[in-house]
Amino acid sequence: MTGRYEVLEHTADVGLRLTGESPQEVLEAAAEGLATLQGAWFPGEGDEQPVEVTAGDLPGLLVAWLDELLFLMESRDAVIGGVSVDRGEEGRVVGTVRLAPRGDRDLESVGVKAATLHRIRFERETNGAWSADVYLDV
Amino acid sequence: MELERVEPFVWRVPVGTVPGMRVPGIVFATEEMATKAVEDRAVEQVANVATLPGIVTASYAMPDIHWGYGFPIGGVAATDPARGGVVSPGGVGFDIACGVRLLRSELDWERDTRERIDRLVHTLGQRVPRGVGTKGRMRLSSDDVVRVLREGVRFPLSRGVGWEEDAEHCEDGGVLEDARPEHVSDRAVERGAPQLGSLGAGNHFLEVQVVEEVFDDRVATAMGLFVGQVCVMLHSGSRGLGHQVCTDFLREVDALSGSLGIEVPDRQLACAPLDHDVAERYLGAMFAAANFARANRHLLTDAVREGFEAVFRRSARDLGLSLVYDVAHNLAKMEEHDVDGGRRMLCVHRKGATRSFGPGHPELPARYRDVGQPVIIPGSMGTSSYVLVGTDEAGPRSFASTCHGAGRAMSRTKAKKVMTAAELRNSLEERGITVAASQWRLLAEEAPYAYKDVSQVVNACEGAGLSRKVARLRPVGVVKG
Repeated sequence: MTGRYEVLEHTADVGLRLTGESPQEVLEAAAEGLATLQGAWFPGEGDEQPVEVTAGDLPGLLVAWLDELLFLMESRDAVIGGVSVDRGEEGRVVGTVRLAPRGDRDLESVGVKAATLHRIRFERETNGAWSADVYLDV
Repeated sequence: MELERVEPFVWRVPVGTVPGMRVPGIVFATEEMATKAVEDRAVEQVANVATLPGIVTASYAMPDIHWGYGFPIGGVAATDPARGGVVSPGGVGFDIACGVRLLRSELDWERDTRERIDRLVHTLGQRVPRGVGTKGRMRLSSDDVVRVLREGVRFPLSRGVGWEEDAEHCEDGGVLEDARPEHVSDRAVERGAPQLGSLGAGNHFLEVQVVEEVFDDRVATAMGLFVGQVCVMLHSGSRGLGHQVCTDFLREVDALSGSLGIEVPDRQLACAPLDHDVAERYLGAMFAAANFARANRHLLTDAVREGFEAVFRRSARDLGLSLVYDVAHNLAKMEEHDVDGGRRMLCVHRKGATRSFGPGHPELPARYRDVGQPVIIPGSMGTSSYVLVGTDEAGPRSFASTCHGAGRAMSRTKAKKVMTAAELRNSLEERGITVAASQWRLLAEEAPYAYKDVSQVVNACEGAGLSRKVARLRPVGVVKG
């Protein structure tokens, strides 16, 4: 994975700026950024399971992808060991996520509630790379 | 972006500040707060909200205004169904019916409590489930979940948890009757139902406080408050269930806005006409999540009572651990207000703002009908909190709304650079505040310096006529989520 994330300043919440060579890389970086903010990024752990989300456009797809990962972490009481996105365009993300039981781990988390559509951006830059901004409610 | 001063604590954002504004913006603030709100982009968000279809009178912001997502935090907007009004899930937020409750006691700080505060905070920290995710205090069958969503605090009461009078001293009697559990998704239930009776993470907390100063003896007496008294303040919401309800409907409403050609300057302001099926389902699900939030704080109250009983070896009844009031600050409700000389039923969104009904309002419990609605305002960690009371003036001025807290002034990243968690903990303990945190490393994100001065915020509310000060409380023990 060569996608990157950086944390964007926000007075109350937190944002992620994501970059990659493809939409898939941007989505993978988003997953790592989210799981890290949740204190739930444990590379290599867990078992793979398929994930698929749909949305009307790329920005909506990014939000749906992050919301799906939040749902999985919280409803399965799980941490994330890795992600791989096979397809991330045309209104559909298909990928896999490694989920591991949280167990007794006390996660140091900012407490992300959801991804928002506020100032959402997901686009191809003039140099051919892809970038996105997304703000998370904490 | 220019603001026009209307009164000492009232600023206008003129129509035209952003394209498509239907009404002006009104920001209640001191000059310093107003300037900060412009720099913070929050005033731009006030103007954006003013573009919502069917919005009436003004897009308001309370003195604790700061940059949110879509709506500003501290934002209030009322829409009229008869004028094409809409409901916007972003105007309620993901933590549906997040709110605050205050418990009083008959304990005196110096006489009864000071010597036991470390043990008390430690005990409360052990008994209150907290942190991200987290299993709550009550296991629910699928039938139970439906009952919580429909009955709010009435469900745990039916199981013998809590006191009958707790419901009476809760906004709406602890239950929104228009809740529609059938519109809450299975995913929302799967994600959040196990968390019922847990505090959560982030800025959610439980504080042991002492009444330091009373500003209005008559109202304080009606609320059972006196100087030196030990109280407990709780801040929590609808947990993962509410978050998922908003997530589900935001997606649906975003698609609907596009198909109906509703243009909003920020996609998070996506909205549905109040007479549309999607709006009806959202309101029913959102009210159900609000009932979940009330039941959640009710169960946390039970944990607090147990903790006090264990430490003081007296019953909670004997300790007088009664609920003063429970009120939400993230909610949209149908309320009757004056608009253009007539009474209208409006959908009032409060995103980081508290309802502030004045004396005589029929929805207030008997105990407060003569004095007005208690408004519970938490300060930042380690600083004072306030009890305010609603005013008659707040009705026409802000659709009966006031502030909800101190309001953040600094990002989490910056806050962590100012002081380490260890330094902050030492600083709090030097001031006599015992802290139990589930995540020490992140404690500095919620440091007092990351927030506005809550005293200035409540003074601005009083200056603007939105609420009046009743009592100031200082923290002596903090349990952080």
